[in-house]
Amino acid sequence: MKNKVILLVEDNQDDVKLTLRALRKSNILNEVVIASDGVRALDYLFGTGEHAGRDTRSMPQVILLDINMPRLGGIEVLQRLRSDERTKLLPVVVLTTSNEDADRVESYRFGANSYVRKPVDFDQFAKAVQQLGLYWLVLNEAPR
Amino acid sequence: MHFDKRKSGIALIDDLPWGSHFCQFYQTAQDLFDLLVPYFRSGLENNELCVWVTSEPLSAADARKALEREVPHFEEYDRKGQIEIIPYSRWHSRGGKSGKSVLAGVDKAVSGGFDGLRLACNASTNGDEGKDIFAQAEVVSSHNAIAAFSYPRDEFSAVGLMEVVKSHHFALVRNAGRWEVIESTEARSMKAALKRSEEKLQSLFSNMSEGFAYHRIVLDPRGRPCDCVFLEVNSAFERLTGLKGTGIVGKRVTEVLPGIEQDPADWIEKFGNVALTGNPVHFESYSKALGKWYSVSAFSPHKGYFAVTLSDITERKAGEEALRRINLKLEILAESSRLLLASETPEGIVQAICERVMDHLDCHAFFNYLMDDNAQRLHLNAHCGIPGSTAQEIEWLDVGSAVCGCVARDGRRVIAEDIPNTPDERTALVRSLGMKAYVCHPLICQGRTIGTLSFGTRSRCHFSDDEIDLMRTIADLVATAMSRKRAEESLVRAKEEWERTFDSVPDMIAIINNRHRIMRVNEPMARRLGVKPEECVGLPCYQQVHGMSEPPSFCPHARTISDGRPHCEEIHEKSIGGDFLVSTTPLHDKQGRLIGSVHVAHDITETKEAERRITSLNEQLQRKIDELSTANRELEAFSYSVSHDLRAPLRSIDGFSQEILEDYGEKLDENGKDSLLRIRAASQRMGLLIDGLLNLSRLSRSEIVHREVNLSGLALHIAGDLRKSQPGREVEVVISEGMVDDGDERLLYVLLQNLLGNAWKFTGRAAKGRIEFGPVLIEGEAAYVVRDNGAGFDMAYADKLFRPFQRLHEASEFAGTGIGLATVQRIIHRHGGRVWAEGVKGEGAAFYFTLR
Repeated sequence: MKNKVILLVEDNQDDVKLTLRALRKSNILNEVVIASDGVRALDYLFGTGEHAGRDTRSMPQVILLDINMPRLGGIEVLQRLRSDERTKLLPVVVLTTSNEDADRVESYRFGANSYVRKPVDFDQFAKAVQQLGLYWLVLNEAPR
Repeated sequence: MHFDKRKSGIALIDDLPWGSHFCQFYQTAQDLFDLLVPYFRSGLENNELCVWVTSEPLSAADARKALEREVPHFEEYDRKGQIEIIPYSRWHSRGGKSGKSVLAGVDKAVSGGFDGLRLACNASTNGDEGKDIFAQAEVVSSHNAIAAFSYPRDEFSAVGLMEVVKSHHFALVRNAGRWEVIESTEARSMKAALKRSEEKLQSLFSNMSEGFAYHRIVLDPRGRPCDCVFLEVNSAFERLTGLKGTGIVGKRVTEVLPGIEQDPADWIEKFGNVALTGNPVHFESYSKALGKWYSVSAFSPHKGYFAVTLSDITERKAGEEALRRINLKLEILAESSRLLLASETPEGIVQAICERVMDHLDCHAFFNYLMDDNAQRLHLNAHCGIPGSTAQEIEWLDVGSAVCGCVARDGRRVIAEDIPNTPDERTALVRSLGMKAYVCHPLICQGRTIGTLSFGTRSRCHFSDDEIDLMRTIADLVATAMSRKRAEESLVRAKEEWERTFDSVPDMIAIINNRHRIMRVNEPMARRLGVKPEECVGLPCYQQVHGMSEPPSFCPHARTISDGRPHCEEIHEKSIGGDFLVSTTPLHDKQGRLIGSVHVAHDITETKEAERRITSLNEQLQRKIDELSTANRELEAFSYSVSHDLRAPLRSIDGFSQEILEDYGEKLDENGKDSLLRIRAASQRMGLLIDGLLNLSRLSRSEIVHREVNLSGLALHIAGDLRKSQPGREVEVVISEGMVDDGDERLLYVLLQNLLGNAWKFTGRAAKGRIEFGPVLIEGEAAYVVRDNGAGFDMAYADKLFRPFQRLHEASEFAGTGIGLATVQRIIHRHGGRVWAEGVKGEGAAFYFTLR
């Protein structure tokens, strides 16, 4: 389980901290790589920019992707991932504050595997994250 | 001419014509008897008045004795006064000298009914007497008289004797015991000439085409003509009158033609007058006795006698009569048509015309019925010859009844003849009015029967073709006049209607010829141009309307007259104040030639103004819409940022408060923990409020998709969810079946979710909750109601219910954001319906809504 990396793409540091807390509370101890915007996320995934030289054969088990971010938004990141052979099949869970239908529909249209809205109530948020981790890190069988 | 011949009675001289006078020379009284006794005997026997004037040597008494002896029935002649024997002295005193005595004798013969006068008179050598004789002979020769003058032979010398012989037609002289006739050469040649002329006359008489008859008049005792005797007739007379000469000569007219004395032509009186006065007459008259018309001339050759020439003019008279009738008929027709043509109301003069026709045709009644188009019955317009009460009874007549009704129905004339003996239902009416013959003609106007005209007579059973023809012509004249009048009236009416329409149309109309000259304008057009309609005529339209010297480029009339098609143009003409929609329609004459156009200008100034206002309003509206769209877009962006940016901090507040509680809880006292819990609760509540607001704004923005929605189904589903959320509660939910309506299913789901959710929530404290959802009629309008028996509300705050964040209950009492009913109202409004609530605090609430 430990080698399964979670990529958390989130610009809000509060949310990063709370998400990590929620993962921890749920006993998900996987390494969490944090990208503070879309550009950094793509750099990590494709071994470019500050992540140049990274072994891109190793891909995260799941990507938790925020939508509203500076520079490159979540939807664009999703589009890029789904158009690249290397990342086409990566599980992406859109994790966002937005409750807009448009965002939800866009996310699924561009191949999000799941869409989770971040509730204000931390207890509920923790519960949601726990379920996510359980599913995507434990139950889900990635395609070989 | 034989009627003029008298038997002389003297064998030696045989017959003598009237006017003959001869002389006798005697020596003894016996000589006088020898000749004069047979002379008078013949006279008496032939109805002549005989006068014997005697003188020496013969006395009147001797003469009478001789006659009494020799003449049979002499006493009768004498008693009748046919013979008068008087001495010369008395004769002389009567005026024998001047011939007056002879005239008196002729008069007496006439008045006595005798054929003429037979006179014998002794004359002597006495100079006076001789002169008397010559005067008397003159009178005799010109009257119906015969005279013998006797002279004593011994008193004359040879020369004197010759003188006497020359004075008379011939002389009788006894020579060697025998009487001989001596004629002077002069007398002989005269006689031969007379004979020739007589033969000519006789030939003429027999051969003339005119009838000739010679009569003697017969007087009554008072001397007035009372009869006449046929003396002589020619063959033409026989032919013309059909009377045979042999049968009538010598007979009285009254005997031959009984009743002639009563003939209105008064033949006897007329002829008697001629015979007595000698004044000729000429006249034309009808003889009832002979049944013919004659042209008659009568003259009197001798007093008491008259000759008549006559010709049969019956045919001419018949022709004249026919001509007269034709003339009269033509006159009636001419007069009738003149009257009808001149009349303003042909109906009114039918009476006068028909009365005249009736007179002419010997009719006794006429009827003129006219079709009343409203009543569809015949109305009696004019009539004559029936009592007023009858006229009232037959004032209205059904089409198809009686003769006139049948004629009106069939449009064909009916001729009813011998009505009393010809049973026919149709003629019952006219039969009852005593008509024997009746003709009814239809009045036909443009192929339509507009009435009838009929004539009837009580005196005959038939009409002649000619008479029926006159009736037909009169009927046609009347129909033509009425038809003309009606056509005129309808023409006038049509013209007036057209003109009224032309002038009352608010549009300005002008008729313009193909040289752009105004032919006619209507009132509105003239008013707009500020002139009278007639003042425009003949002026160029471009000058009058546009004040230009030639047609403007946009002129639709110019286009119409060049291509013969209608055109339409919007024109702005400031000089007459506005905008006009001008249409021009080509105008053709009867030959189909284009002669101009009808130019109609419809004032669209107001429309244009309104159009401009609308355009301006639209522009403003578009600007508003643009502004609103911008605002909406901004609002969307705002909502989006609210959804993200406002919630994110809340999550931090809540999340880190939780972290403090979990990680540092033991370092805090109860008050600190409580504060952190309150911070968390508040941020969570604010998260809910933000979500509510977002939902509300999303409702306003999302597009509505209409389709048929099963409300009952949605409600059941929601009720099921509610039950699952709180399985422990016992709530009776009653949902009517079959509620199906038109709307956006997603929004209606949210609507019902809110209403049923509210009901569910507010019945939470009721002992036995009950929720109903069903259709209801509110003032005839279909509505739905969601009713519960929950906490209810105070109606005083009913208007606040639907405002966002308005709550009528404490949050601690019933949880909620206060956004639910605002959402409900937004959804209902978006469906075009209404929503309202009724409630009683503590008893329950009812929410009504309608969907458009």
